[in-house]
Amino acid sequence: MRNPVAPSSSRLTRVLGWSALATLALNTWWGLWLSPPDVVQGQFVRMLYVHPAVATMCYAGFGICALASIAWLWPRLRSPRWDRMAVAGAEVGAVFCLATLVTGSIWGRASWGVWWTWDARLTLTAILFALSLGYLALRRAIDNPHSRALASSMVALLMALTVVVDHYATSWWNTLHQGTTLLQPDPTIHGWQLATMLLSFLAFGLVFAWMLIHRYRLEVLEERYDQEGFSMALEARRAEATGPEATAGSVAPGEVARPPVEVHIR
Amino acid sequence: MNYVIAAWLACAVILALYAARTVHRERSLRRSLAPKAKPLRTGLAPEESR
Repeated sequence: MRNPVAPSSSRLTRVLGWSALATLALNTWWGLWLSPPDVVQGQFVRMLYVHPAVATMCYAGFGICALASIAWLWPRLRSPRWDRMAVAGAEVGAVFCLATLVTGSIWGRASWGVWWTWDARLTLTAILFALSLGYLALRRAIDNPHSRALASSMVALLMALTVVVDHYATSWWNTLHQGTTLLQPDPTIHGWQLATMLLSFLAFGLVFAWMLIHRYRLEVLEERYDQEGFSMALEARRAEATGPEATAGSVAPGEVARPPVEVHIR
Repeated sequence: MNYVIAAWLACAVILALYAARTVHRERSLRRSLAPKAKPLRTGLAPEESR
């Protein structure tokens, strides 16, 4: 068994963590200094090197959650690993969803003059965030692991559906939010802007992977704590009960306490 | 430019706080699960073991 006191990092997460930090530093340098301002958006184009990448990682988190939930629902593949992966994806996705809403709101204030508007893309992202919080709350509310995994899988599928609608919201409806920048035959950005945007996807992708692995490990530890914590508490209680106080308490008044009889079984 | 800095900082703060919280929870759980040091069982009473 792996030593539970071992440091929380492993070789993989150390490499991932340092790579993420290095690419984030490079992304900041390119995004805030090297990349030129846009003809239309001016300096506000620099938010393009954070917001789309963070939103994509939010989708990736909920996508992983949905895929892992489908794997758990599939009888031949059912394993607690998929349930752990689902909760890790949902929680990391929720964090990136919050970052998407906050950075998007700031960009909206800069470009449209308002912090929030009930645009299809924005509203669906807010619904997605609310669903992810509901997913996490539901998991805390149900104690039985099977029922918990089953109920949360249903919410995960609903989140995946919302992700698809959210992604196509700018094509299906007339929205204030701009359409796709990269996913089209002739991308609207080139040169340094394109390179910096691609770098931002790499940087936030590494951060996402690092968080996902750590969150998965945390789930493993929490499960072990739930199992072992109970048996450790029980053992401590037994030790207390068989201590000197318990022995003294079991002797009737006036009776002399006798040493326990030693029994040898051959 | 202030909005740009605000967006970058907000994103950094959210991600850094979550990363720190995850690592902290992981470490505290590992510490809680660490086997506790127990006194050696010699089979002798404390007076006899001296």
